[in-house]
Amino acid sequence: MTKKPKRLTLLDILCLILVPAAMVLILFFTPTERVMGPVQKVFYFHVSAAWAGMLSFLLAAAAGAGYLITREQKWDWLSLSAIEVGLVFGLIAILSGMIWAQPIWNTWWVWDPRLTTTAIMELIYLAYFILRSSLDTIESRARLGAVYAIVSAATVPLTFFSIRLFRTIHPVVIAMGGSGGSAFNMTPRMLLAFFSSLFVFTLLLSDLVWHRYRLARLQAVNCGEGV
Amino acid sequence: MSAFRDYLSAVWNVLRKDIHVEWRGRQGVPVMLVFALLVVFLFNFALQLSPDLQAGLAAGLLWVSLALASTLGLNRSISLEQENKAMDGLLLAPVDRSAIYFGKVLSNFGFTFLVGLVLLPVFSLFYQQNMFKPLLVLVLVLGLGAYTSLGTLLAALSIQTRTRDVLLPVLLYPLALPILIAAVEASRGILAGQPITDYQSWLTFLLACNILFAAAGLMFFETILEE
Amino acid sequence: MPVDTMTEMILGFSVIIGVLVVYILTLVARVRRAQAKNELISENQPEY
Repeated sequence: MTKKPKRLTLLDILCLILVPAAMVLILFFTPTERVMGPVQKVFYFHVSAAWAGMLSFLLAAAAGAGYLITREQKWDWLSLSAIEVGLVFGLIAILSGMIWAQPIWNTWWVWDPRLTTTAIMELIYLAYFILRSSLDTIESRARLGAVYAIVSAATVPLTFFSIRLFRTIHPVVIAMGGSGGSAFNMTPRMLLAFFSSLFVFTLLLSDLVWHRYRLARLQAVNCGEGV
Repeated sequence: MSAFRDYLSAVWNVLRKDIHVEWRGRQGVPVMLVFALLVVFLFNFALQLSPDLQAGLAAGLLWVSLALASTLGLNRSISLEQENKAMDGLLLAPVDRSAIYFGKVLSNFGFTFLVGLVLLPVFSLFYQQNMFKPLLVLVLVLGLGAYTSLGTLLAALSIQTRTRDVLLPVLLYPLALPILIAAVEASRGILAGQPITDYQSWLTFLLACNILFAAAGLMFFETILEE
Repeated sequence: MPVDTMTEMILGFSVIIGVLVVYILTLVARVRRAQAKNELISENQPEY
């Protein structure tokens, strides 16, 4: 295993400081929303996690393209890492979304476009791992995984818009937008917490993907696949 | 210009071969049709559907049965090639491999569209819906066009794996969701007799899907079949 | 008077941090295992 780069250690420390800092900001600095109460504060990390997940899947598609063009294994390691971490953030987004919805709408699930799209995305990217595990060569896993990652990323915006279009025609009283979700209704303090959370989660994403990438590289070396 | 004509004749040859095989064996379309009808019966009893079905339910049922039946056709179409190593013969031809893709899409589309056309009078009979609307046929064309474009690409992908055609539904259904949503919504609007302005965004959406997935097939089919 | 959803908020944050921590722990475990295997391999194959 090559020595851990200093920049990665720096990133680790930064994340370890900033994530709790963001929590402090959210818990004590933002106003408590009148209608939903304290649980609304979960929204900051919920949206940030969803954002990080989407970003990760885009990164995976780009890395897939990188592999198809260069055929260098490291792009496949990056693509795989991005999808795995993306799945984790997607899971966080879904679970926090459910917890946020429960006390307000007295239901654990809402067919909100964003939540539904995220759930479908989780399935799509779980299928990525099923696909890889049913392939026998390193090369086919990388190549076919890359194609799937690119095609999947292209369909995600399609899925989102189709569900949203569906919801505007079949309006549902339950909507995750509104005072908790719309960036336009937020006070300056909420906006600060919101953008800070987005930033922190993006850092966290890079940190986790980098670590996962190094693991993928190490595992490849172990299997004699070389760098 | 003659290169283009070679390309077109390659597409035509693939299509003609598929039609010929189907005509000889007559196993694809009848099986798909019976399967679609069984799905309709299954849902009818499982959901206790009443004969005066609402437009939305009829549209949904139509597209669910078509989507499920189509998977049979897609799997059969691609595994036929694998069986007699016919794919290798096709691949040796000195023409861009995307011609194979388009030929296959056309044959898959053709067979599924036939099933769809037969389902229309069946639905009219079972559910007292007048399904003989030309716009509905248009939705069938657009919806199935997009679905088989995506499906043919993913079938080529899944046939390379150990689990082979079992994997296709896992890969196809989540990615095809926007197509199905749009097709059902457009069909519902047509069956409910709504003005075209109500659902024309769905039709445009379907058109966009057709273009997107055909482009994806053009780009990636060859990559998927690499040896 | 804001609705009391304090318990839900705590639950929400716990789940978020919890999932992250669990994932990081699995990463740590997997890295350790891979490093051990790596050492084992380089032991058996003396570097030239």
